[in-house]
Amino acid sequence: MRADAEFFESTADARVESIPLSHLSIELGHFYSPDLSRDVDFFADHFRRIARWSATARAACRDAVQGKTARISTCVLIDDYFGQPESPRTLLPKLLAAAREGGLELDYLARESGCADPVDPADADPAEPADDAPAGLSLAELVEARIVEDPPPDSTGARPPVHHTGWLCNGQRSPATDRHEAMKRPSTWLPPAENAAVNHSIFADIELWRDGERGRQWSCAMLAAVWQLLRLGVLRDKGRRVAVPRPLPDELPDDWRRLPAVLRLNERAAPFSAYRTMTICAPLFLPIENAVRTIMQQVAVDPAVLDQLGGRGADEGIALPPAVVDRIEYLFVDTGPVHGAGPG
Amino acid sequence: MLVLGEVQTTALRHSGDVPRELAESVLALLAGERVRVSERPIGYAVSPHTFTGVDCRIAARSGARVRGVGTLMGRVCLTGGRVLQSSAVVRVEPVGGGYRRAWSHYLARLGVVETLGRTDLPGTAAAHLDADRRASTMGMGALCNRLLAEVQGSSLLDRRPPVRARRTVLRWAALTDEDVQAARVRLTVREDGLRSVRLLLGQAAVADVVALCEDLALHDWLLTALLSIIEQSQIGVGEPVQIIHRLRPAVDHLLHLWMPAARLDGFALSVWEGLEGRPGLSRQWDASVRRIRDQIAMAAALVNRAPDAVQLFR
Repeated sequence: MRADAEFFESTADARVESIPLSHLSIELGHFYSPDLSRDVDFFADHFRRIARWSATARAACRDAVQGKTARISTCVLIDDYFGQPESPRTLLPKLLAAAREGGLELDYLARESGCADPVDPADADPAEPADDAPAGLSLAELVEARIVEDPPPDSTGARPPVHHTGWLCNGQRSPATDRHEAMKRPSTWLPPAENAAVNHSIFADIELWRDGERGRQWSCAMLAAVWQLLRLGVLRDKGRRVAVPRPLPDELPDDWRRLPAVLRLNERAAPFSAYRTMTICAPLFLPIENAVRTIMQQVAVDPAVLDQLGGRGADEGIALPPAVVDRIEYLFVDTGPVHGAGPG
Repeated sequence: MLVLGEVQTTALRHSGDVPRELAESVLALLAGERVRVSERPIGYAVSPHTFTGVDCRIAARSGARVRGVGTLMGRVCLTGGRVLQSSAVVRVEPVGGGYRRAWSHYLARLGVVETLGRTDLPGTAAAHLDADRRASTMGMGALCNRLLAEVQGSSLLDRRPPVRARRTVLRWAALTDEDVQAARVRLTVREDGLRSVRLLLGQAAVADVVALCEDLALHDWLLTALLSIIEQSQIGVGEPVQIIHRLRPAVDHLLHLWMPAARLDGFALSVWEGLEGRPGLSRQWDASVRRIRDQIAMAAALVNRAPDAVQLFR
């Protein structure tokens, strides 16, 4: 008789860490540095204008979970990457007071640099000293590595991945026609084409990064895509959680970079990441969000993470759309005057 | 279900030992993903799965072609710190409709190519296996090439493979059918050197089929490499010392790697057992190993012999 033997080696199986999840993550603001120095009234006006839309999003979520307690968290994103906002000591109390005045509660605040800087090696597990962890990759690098480009018709596996240009599009570019090389006939203009066009194309070409003297600068669109994926709880570094929200320190520093990527402002907040996200923003953000969606369409999330989220959703009676880009929603509304929301 | 694949097998271009850290570094094909390493029963490391988008025509035997859209899975594995393999795998799934969906749809089902239109799966399998060596389905061969080049080009490797042996290409197609009771396998060595494996299976997970085909390709390459070393050693022609010198890489680097189905179970074991009956890969391996050991024993017997006694061994 043969014994039924089992043998495991722990590094040989690829487990992914699980994270706490809300039903919905509502983004109440994406503030650029020109606006971040405004007074408390500016922010209060912003929050007052979107309060009714936030309430509607909450009501829709409560309906969707059918009588169970809806777990909803709110967040704002501040730009400390393209500009230098006021110090946390000044800005944080101002934001919190304005939100209260507008009838909203801020649960989490994230820094845009947190998406571009190397992942915080510190882990919640004190048994594993952080010194052992090699310098991590940035969240943006983790996402870029997972981009699987939308192939134009007649592409086979022989087509090498194009990682080196910093541009990502949703189709085929128009061939360059402006070369005036000797001995070369000028070619006729050909239009670009969207791969999944319905009759006519809406071609989008997105700049992900640009390399300069001070290294790589990620685009606002890329960082915003990372931000959406982080909120959807689908990012991992070697199977481990990334940018875990940390509570506010007792004493606020002067420099944003001394704060974690995601700060928990409200101790009773529902989990930061969620099955779905709702972003309430001004119509001015539409081009950026189109770029975000174009990027997210081409990010191949780890199937093990997708399975894990899908399974947990199913246990709660929630059917998640298979594609992560279909888990994000928007409300484009008048949020008052906005400065600096250019496609950076 | 139809799963198609190609495996290319070669020697890692590195003369020294391959400790775990080195294996992890050279196989790190995807940032933020782990290289999986196991030590028992044989050293084995496998890269993260990578994916490549395709939108191309897929041949069926009848000559008809159908458009397929989706992603190919590619990975690289290293066995015993010596044998490097790249693998391209795709599950072909016919869908209704006939139009291409948003790309996010295909990224939610990685490793699947959906065919837009009527598809004859057995015909597609046959076309894949019968295709010219240079014209692999959906560019799988080119993908395997690229993956191998990416690893072999690592600056951490010294580019001096201790064993010189040809790269082998094994193409496979697995059709599953719930009514099938016992797995069936057909291994063909084509005139142009390409190996093809056709599998007909009952219920089977794609990962198990891939592991089986990589294991078959690994052992086919080991046997090919060993036979090539024996052939080049000029047994019965050259001086014993020279023969031993030429056989030595096999002893140093190959003989301990033969371990059929080391990490397999279920239907994969039964496929291996079937192949051991005919063509009997292990039988040929064992005979070749005995031949090498006999040569070494004979050479040892010749050492320190008086010149007149040496004549007896000529």
